[in-house]
Amino acid sequence: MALPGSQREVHRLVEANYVALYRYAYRLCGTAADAEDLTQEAFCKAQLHLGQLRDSARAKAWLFRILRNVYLHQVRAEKHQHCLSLTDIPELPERPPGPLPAVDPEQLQQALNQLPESFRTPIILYYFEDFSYRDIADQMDLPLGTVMSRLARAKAQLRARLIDPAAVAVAEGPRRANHGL
Amino acid sequence: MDCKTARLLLAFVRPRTSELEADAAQALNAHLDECMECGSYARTEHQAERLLSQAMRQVSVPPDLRQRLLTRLQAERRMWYQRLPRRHPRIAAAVAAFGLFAVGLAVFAAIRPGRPVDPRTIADNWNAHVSASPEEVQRSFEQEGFRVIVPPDFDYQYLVSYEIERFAGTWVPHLLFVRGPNQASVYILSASHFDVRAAVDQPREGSGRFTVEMRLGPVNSNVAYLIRYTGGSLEEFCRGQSSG
Repeated sequence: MALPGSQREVHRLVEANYVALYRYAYRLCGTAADAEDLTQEAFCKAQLHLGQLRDSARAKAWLFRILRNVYLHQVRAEKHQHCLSLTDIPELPERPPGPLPAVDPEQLQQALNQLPESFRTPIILYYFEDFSYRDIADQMDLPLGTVMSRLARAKAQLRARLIDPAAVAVAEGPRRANHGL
Repeated sequence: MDCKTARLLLAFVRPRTSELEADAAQALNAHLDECMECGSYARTEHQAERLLSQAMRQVSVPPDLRQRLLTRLQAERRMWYQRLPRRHPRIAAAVAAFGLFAVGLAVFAAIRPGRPVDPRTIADNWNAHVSASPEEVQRSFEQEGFRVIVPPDFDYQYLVSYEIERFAGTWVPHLLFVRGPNQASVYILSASHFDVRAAVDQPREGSGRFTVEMRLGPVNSNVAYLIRYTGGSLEEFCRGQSSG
């Protein structure tokens, strides 16, 4: 029998994580109403099983995992996903020089909605919360290599849809930069 | 580093961080600085990553979401406790029984009358101890778990009480003799708790109203008597001194 976690602990968990969790939920399911339901369900489960959280430093990863499980449970119950197949995504052509256009968040959501969940989750975690490859693999119970391969294909799909393939890097001369490293 | 490796490693360069080891990152940076094609490719990749990352994070959160979450969690918590009796009837029954017991105990503690103090009963109890023989005293101590030999030199007609008392953090048998204005308290100390041999060797202490001295018990008894008395001498409490 699991007792609900103490009210103070639960409040602390909500305060620290509800924004990130809601945004993750929104990107997973695509609508505000579903995202809120999902967030609430995830916190309710977390409240009930708070005793299972051994390391409070891992609270966010633990909550994300719970939310994804709730989501998967709902999706399996509904069984009406219409997803793109990512098996035949072609290699992206080399972009010609030029600035890249901004990505519209709504279009991004539409593109995410068309990805299968197994590709959508890693790409959200990758861009959204700076989970490492290893963290994503842990979240999804997948080998590291599988995560990397799915990420590469999901990225290619998003870019093909959202960023003009005709655009390329700004034709600047060579310059010192750390390239984000 | 060649161009193929550099482009592979770029996958590990994140919009806000990098998963590359320091050495690999340095080598990659060096290559990107030298190779114009890869440098341009990397900048475009980085820009694309940044654009996607920014768009991914643009999700507006409803302003009252936090409050709705807390309200729902509170309701769930209440419901969990309400459903407890149906899901776990035994546990609920045990909790209820414990609660009733605790409430009963609290009520009893609040309303119970104070313990009566009956001088007559107390006097009878104390008088029953007066003038007990050494054998009776020993039997009484033995019943309480203390097998000891009481001091044989004392005249037990002056004994007014004997009981187990706390001495220096240990429960020990204690006898009180009273004769006239003077009294003698005898604590029977066991060698298993006290260093009685060392204490016996110390001189008698009598600087104030009380005099304190230690006497070793009968041979092989492993006890010593710590005696505290008034009047400056123990003679009047000893056998053969009753006429005084």
